[in-house]
Amino acid sequence: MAVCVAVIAKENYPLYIRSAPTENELKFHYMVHTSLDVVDEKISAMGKALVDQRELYLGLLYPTEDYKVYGYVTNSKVKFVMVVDSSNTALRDNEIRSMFRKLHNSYTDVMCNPFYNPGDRIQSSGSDAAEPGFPVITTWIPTCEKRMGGRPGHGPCPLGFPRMPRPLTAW
Amino acid sequence: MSVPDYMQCAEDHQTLLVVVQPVGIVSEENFFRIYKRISSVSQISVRDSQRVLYIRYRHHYPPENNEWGDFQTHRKVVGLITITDCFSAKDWPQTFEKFHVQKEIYGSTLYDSRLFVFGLQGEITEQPRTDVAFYPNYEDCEAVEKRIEDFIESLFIVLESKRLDRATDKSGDKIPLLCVPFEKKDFVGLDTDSRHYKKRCQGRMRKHVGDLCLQAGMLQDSLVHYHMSVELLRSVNDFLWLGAALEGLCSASVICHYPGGTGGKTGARRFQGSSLPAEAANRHRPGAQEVLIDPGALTTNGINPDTSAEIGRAKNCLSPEDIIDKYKEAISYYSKYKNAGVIELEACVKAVRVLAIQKRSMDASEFLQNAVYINLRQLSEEEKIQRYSILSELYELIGFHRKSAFFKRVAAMQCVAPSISEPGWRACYKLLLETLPGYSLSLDPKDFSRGTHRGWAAVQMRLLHELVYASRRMGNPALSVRHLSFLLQTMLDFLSDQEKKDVTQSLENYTCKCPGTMELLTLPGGPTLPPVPFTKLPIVRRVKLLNLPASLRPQKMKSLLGQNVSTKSPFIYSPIIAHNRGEERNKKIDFQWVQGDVCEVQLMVYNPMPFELRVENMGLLTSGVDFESLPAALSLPAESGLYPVTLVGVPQTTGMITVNGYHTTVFGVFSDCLLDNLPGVKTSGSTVEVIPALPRLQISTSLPRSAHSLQPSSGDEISTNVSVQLYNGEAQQLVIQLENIGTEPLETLEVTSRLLTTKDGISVSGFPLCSPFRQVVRPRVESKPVNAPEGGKPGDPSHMKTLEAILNFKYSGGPGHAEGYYRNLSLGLHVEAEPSVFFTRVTTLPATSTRQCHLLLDIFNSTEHELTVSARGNEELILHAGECQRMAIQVDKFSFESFPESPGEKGQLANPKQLEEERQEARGLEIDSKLDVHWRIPSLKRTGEASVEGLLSQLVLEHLQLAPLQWDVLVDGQPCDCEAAACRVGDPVRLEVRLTNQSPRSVGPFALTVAPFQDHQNGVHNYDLHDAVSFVGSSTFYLDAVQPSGQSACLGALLFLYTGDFFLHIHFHQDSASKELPPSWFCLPSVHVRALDAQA
Repeated sequence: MAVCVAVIAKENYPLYIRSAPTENELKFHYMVHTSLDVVDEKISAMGKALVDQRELYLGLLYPTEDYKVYGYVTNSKVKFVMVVDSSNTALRDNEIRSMFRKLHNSYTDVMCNPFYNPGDRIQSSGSDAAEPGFPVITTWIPTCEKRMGGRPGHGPCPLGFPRMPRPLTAW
Repeated sequence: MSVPDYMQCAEDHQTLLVVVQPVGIVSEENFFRIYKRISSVSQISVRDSQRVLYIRYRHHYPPENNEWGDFQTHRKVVGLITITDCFSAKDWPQTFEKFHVQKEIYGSTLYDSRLFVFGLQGEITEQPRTDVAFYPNYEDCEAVEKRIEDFIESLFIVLESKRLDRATDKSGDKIPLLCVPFEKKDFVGLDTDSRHYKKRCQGRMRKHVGDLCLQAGMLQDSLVHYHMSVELLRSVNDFLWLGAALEGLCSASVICHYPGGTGGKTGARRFQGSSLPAEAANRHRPGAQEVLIDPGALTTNGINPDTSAEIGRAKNCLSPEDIIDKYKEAISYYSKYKNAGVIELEACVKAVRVLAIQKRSMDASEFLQNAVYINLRQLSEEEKIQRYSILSELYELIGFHRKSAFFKRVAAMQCVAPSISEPGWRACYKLLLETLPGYSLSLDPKDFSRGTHRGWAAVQMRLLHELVYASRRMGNPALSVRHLSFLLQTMLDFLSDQEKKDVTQSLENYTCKCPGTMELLTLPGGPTLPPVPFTKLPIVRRVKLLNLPASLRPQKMKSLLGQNVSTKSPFIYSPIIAHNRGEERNKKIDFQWVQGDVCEVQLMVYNPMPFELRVENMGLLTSGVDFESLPAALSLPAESGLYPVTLVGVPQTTGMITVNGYHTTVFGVFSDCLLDNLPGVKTSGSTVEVIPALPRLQISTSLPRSAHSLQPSSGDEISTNVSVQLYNGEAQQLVIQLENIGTEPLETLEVTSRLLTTKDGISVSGFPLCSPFRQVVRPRVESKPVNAPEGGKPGDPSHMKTLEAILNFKYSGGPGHAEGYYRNLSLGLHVEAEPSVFFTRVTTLPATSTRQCHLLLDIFNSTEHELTVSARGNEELILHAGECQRMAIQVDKFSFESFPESPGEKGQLANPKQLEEERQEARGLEIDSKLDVHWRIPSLKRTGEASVEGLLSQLVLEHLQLAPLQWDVLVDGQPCDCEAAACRVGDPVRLEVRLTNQSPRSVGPFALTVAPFQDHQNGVHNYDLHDAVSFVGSSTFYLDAVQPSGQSACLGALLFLYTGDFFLHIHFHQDSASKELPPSWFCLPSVHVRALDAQA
C-alpha cells in the first residue's frame, strides 16, 4: 500500500498530504514537492494532446532508493501524488491506477460538499494514516481550518542526507 | 580516476588540455593574473588551415586522471605552462630544475611545455630558448598571448603528427592495444594474435584516432572514425571502449549540431567572433564536408586513411534523438565497470547539458537521476557539496526548480555537516537563500498578506528555521531576528501551540540583544530583506477613528453652516456616490478633531497566540498633521476574542490628518503596520479634519455626579449628569462651576436650558435662569387630585415621578473661535420627585366678608415621616405618616382678571382650551403664593411647599374670585362690610352704594332696592320695619351705566327710629341688563347697622 498520498491544487500547493510513517512526514513533503517538477513537465508535454483523449494517470514520476512516486492529474489540473514502497513489487500499475481512481472519487465528493471552499486544505476524517486500508480514504470531511491535523515535525533530511541540528530545541 | 569534472560538456572532447601551474612561490594574485591572460587564448585558427584548435586550461589536474588520456584524449594533459618568480640569476638553476620536476608529473603525455619566468633580468634572459620566456615583471609582459599562440601551434604540430601517425598505421603493422589503467592487469597473458584481440586493438585505435581528429579540428573525419570504431568494438563486446566510442560520436555530433555549445557561457564564448547564425556556422565549418561513411571502405584488417572515399553515403552525424540514444547506450556500457564511475557520471552530466538544449527535461531528469545513484567512493565533504551543487545547477538548467532547490538545500546542509571541523555557515546561508525560489518562498511579507497562505508550509517552515539558525551561527543576529519574525508572521497558521511558544521564546532571546527593526537588511549577496511588521500580533480587525466626547466636540456656528453644504452634486442624495467603495478607506470622516486635544482611535484586536501577548509601545502612524502619539502598552489574554484598544494622540497643527497605521513592539520587534497592507481590516475612513484649538471647559457641580443618563430620546449627548431626589415641593439649589482647563482663552459663553417633556404629564414650574453662573432650579411636581381612597390610604404613594432638564453651555474662544467653531457642554439634570403632601380635597366656605372666603384643604401626608404643614399666618398642623387632616385658611379673594390675560402674541394662535389651562395655571400660582403652604419634615430637616395647582375646581375658583363688579356700601362714609356700623336714632344715616367696574365691558344701568330687616337669630327675618326705619328719599337707587374701570355711586339716607341691630338687604331689580351678567357679580356685602340711643 501507499506510504504517502497527496492532493495538490492547480497552483501547486498541497490541499492534503498524509503519510503512513508519521514520524518522518517531512521527508514525504520533500518527495512530493520535488515530484511536482516531473508532473509539470509531463503535463506540459501532454498539453498538445486532445483533452478528451488525455490520460489522467501520469505513471511513475520518479523512483528513489526506497520509494516510487506516481502521479495523476485531473482535468482541472489538480494533482494526486502517491508514494509507494519500492520493495512492494506486488503492486502493479493497474492497482496504482485504481487507487488513484478511488482517490479521484473521494476528491470529487469533497468538491461536492457545499461547505468546502475550493482551495482550502482538505481534512480527512478517518485516522487514516495508521490504518491498514490507507490510502483508501473513506470519508473526507473538509474543514475551513487552516492548519493540518498532524503537522510534520523536524525529522531528519530525506534520503539520509545530513541534517541540521534540530532548530529551536538546540538553542 | 576518481575526481569527476562536473563542468564538462560534450564540446570539451575537442579541446586540448593544458595545465598552467605555478612553481616556487608565486602570489595567487599574480598567478591568476597571468592565468587569466593565458586562458583568454582558448581558440586558435591553425596557420594555413581552416581548422580551429580549442584549448582547455586547468590550474589543477589530478595526475591519475591523466592516466585515462588514451581512453579519451581530452583527458590527457598535452601542454604544461609553469609560472615562476625568479629574481636573481643565482636562483635560476634551481627554478629550472623545479620546472623539470613539474614536467615529470605529466611527462608521459606532454606534447610540449613552457616556463614563464618573472622578475629575472640579465644575461640569462638573453639566451634564446623556446621553452622558457623571461619577463621583467607581471605588468610588463605583453607578449604572453603571443607566446601562448606559438605554444599552441607547437602543440598542434605534435597532435597532427600523432594523428597522422596513428591514422596512417600500415594495416600490416601490429596495432598496440590501448587500455585504461585498471585494464592493464586483465590483459596479461592474453593471446595477442587472435582475431578478437586484433579487432579490439583496431577498434580502440580507431576510437583514439577519432579523438585526435576531433581535437585537431577535423570533425567529419572523427565522426567516420567513431562510426568505424563502434562497429569494430561492438563485434568484440569491448563495452567500455564501445561506450567511449559512442560518446565520442555523440560529442562530435553535438559539436556539429550545437555550435553554440552546451556548457553555457564557456561554450558561447567560443563563437563570439562569429556573426553567423548557428545553422550557417554549422554549414560552413572548417572541414565540414558532407562526409558519409561507406561500410565497404571498412576493412577488417586495417584502417583506410582516405576518408574521402566514404563521401556520398549516409550522413555520419547523429540526429539529435540519436545522440541521446547513443549517450544512453554509452552510459549503460560504462555502468558495467565500477572503475569507470567518473566517466559515467561525466557522460551523464554531458548528456544532461545536451538535453537541456534540446528542452527534453524528462529525459534529462532520467540521466540526472542516474547520476545521483552513481556511487564513486567515499567522497570528501567538499566533494559532496560540489556534487549536490552541480546537481542543483543541472536541475535548474532543465527547469526542475524544486528538485534544484532540494539539492541546493542538501548542499547547504553539507556545508555545516557535523563532520566538518569548521562549518561554513556563511556558505550554508548563501545556498539556503538560493533555494527560496524553488520553495516558492519570498522573504517579503507583502507577498503573504493577500488571502490565506498557499504553499508548502512544512518545507517552507523548515527552510526558515534553517535560515534562522544559519544566520545566527554566521554571527548576524539581525538576520536571525528578521527571519524568525518572518516565520512567525507568515507561518502563524501552521505553527502548533508549542511551536508558537518556542518560536516566540527564541525570538525574545534574540531581540534582547538585537531588537528587530523596520529597516531593510542587506544580505551578503546584495539583495535586501524587507522588514516584517507583525500585523498578526495582534490581529487588527477594525480601525475606527473616534469622535471627541460630546462635551469637547466642536460645532460650526450656524451662520457659517451654508458653506459646509457640498456643491459637488445637484442631488441631495445619490446612491451612486454613497456606494463608491473605492474611496471608503480614504473617505473623510464627518467629524472633526481639535488641535491640542487628545484624540482617540479605536482598534478591535485579537491575540491569536495561545498565551498572553504583551504589546508595548503601541501608537498611531499618521500623516498630514503634526501628531504627538501617546503610545500604549497592552496585554492581551490568550486567544482573546475581539478586544477594543484605544490609541491616543494629540494633533499639534491643523489640517487633514490621515491615520495610516500603527506601530507596535512585540517580542522586541518594532513593527510599523500600515492599514493598506492589512487584509480584512474594516475601517470607516481614516482621514479627519483637525480644526484650530478651542478652550476646554470642565464642569463641576455642588451636587454629586450620577451615572444616571437621560432618556435616549433627549437628543443631546450629555457629558455630565446630576441626579437628585426630592420631595414634591422641595427646592434644591445647584451651584455649577465651570473651569477652563484648556490653553485657549474663553471668549464667549452662552447658557440655555431645556426641559424634557415627560410622559407622566409632569410639568415643572420655575426654571428661571438667574445668572449664567448661578442657576436655581425649583422643580415642582403637580399630581392630579387623587380620589379620596375608601380605605384611607392614598393610591400609589410610592409612585415617583422623574423629570429631566438640560443646561447647555455654548462656548468658544481662541483660534477655533475665529474659524467659527464652538463647543457645547451639557449638564443633564435628573430629578426624582417623591410625593410629599397631597391635597385630597379643596373646598371653600364663604367668609363673613364678601372679599374673603375660607379655603378648606384636606391634606394627606404621603411620606413615611411626620411632617408639619403651615400656611401663611396660620398655625402649624402636624401630620403623621399617612394621615389626612383638614386645614382651613381664610383668604382674601383674588381678582384674577388683573393678571395679564392671554397676551396678544400667543392668544391668537393658541386654542381656547390651552388658553384656559394657562389661565388655570396662573391662577394656581397666584393662589399658591398667597397661601404659601409649606411643609417640613423635622426628622429629615427638609422643607418644601405644597401647591393647589390643578386641584381647583371651577366652583372653587369662582368662589375664590373677586367679582369684576365691586360693590362697596358706605354707611356715613365708612365702608361697611362685616363690621357693624353704628349710628344714632333719629339721625339720618348716609348710605352710599359704590360700583367699581373691573370687567372689560360697560355694565348697567342698574336699579337696586334697599330692604332693611331684623334678624331674630332664629331663622326669622323681619322685613316689616316700616315703623322702625324710614327712608330719606327713595328706597330704590339708580346707577348709571359704568364704563370699564369706571366707578359710579348712588346716594341715599336712612333714618332709624329705634335702637336695635338692623341689616340692610340690597337687591337688584330684575331687568334685562342684569340678566346677562352672572349672579355672582352682584354679590353685595350685607350691611349691619347698629342704631344707638341718641343721648348715649
